[in-house]
Amino acid sequence: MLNLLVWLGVLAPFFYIIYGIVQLTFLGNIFYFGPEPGQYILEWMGQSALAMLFATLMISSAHRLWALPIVRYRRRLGVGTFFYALGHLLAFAVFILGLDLTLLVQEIIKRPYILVGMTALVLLALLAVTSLHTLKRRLAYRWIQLHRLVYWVAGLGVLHYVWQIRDGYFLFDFYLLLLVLLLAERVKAKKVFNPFAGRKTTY
Amino acid sequence: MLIKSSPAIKESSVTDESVYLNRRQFMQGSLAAASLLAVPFSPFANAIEGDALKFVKTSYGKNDVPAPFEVITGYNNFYEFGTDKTDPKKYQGQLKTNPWNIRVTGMAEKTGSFHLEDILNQNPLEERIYRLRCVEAWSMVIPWVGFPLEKLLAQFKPQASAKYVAFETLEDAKQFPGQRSAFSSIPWPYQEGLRMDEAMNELSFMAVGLYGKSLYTQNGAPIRLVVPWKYGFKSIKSIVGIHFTDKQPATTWNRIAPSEYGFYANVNPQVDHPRWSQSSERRLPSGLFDVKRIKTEMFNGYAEQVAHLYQGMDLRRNY
Repeated sequence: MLNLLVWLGVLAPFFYIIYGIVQLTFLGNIFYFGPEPGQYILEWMGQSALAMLFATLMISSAHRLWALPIVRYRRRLGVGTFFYALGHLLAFAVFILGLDLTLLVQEIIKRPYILVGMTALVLLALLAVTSLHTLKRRLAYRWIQLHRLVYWVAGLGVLHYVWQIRDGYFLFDFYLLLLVLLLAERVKAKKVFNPFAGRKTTY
Repeated sequence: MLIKSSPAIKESSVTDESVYLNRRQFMQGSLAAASLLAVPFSPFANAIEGDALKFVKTSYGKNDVPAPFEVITGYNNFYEFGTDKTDPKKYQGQLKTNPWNIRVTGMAEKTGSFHLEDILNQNPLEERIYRLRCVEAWSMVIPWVGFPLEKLLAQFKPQASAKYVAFETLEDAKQFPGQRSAFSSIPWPYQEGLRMDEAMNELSFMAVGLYGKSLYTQNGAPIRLVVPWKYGFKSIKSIVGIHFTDKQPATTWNRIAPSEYGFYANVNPQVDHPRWSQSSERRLPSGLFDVKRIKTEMFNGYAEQVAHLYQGMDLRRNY
């Protein structure tokens, strides 16, 4: 049951976009996503990625603090984060830039907040690829070190978000506070025995 | 319907105009009384909006195709109502736009508080189709109804020493949810300004309507500025203050981020916003796969009328 709910949670933002695209393309509701549907989808994908990323981090903390049996859903949410972040970039390239790749490269170089976002996405790709069980086993302790990068991704993601808004800091304040709390928990977390390296570490 | 069409009105237009406006006021009053018992957020609370206006058409923008009405009234940057583009339409019912007064101060002979009706009585309305280019790199074509700013300012007889004119939006946290927000960094009230010669330019316009109807609140009712060769944030909405001065007035976005928003804020494809390019724009409404990305023109395509205002100025520094 919980398994199904998590699947729904991960996929619902995507289904909503598909539903909206069907509405505005085939059912004549051309302003279903407003007069700038590409921009709407872009922001929706970005927000979904950010929300899912923080849900992932909260699972880690909840797992360490209260040993809740939900850590098995963490990977799904993490890969979901990458999925929406990639969708966010694709929406930017297709709906905003009209697939003008030179413009895309220019934007990535010239706009610091886009560069920050791209950096976060590259890191996410690395984490998503290495989330395969075989790689996880093979990388062993280095897997843990590598996946600590997720906290950097969160920082970059929040920076990427706040850097392009003009006003209205509610979500930024919320994510910043959450990130501080999650990092504090992560730093203070109790060290446990690491079976790979034969020394104490924090998962 | 409140269509003003009887030729009898012309015989003494001032009286009839005020009777006409009083009638709307009366209706507004009784509706307001009725709405005390009703839901306060009702979109029908503002009965004054959407009335048909009497105006003459002009040749401004006759080749441009206006955006659909629902787009112009449903996709707005009006941070007094919230930062989401759908917030202004959602919360517009909280602002009471009638009665409305404008306070005129500073270097002018006729200063004081003026009823909006008295101002409107002296200015016959015309329609001008203008392109609006937002600093966020999207644009819309809008058929405004209003009158030249030049005519309005002349009524107050500005002194020769007045080099700038400043404008101010209403500040009232009770009526503007965005002004109540703890998560906004904007120093209210919203302020804008123009150099006097910019204000006196033929293009500078005071809008009281669009698509032939009086302005909806989300578009800056009851009266707003439209300066089509500048980024949209210069076109200040719901004006309650006009101030004549010899010093360059403080403007809101310039105060928040001086490196991003200049006093002039002329549309200029060669000078990028530090965080995004201004060389092209998305003309709205746009489809999902056919993004109408067009090249941004110098002064938003109004160079012929306004370029002379900036002769000899470095527009890279005076952005």
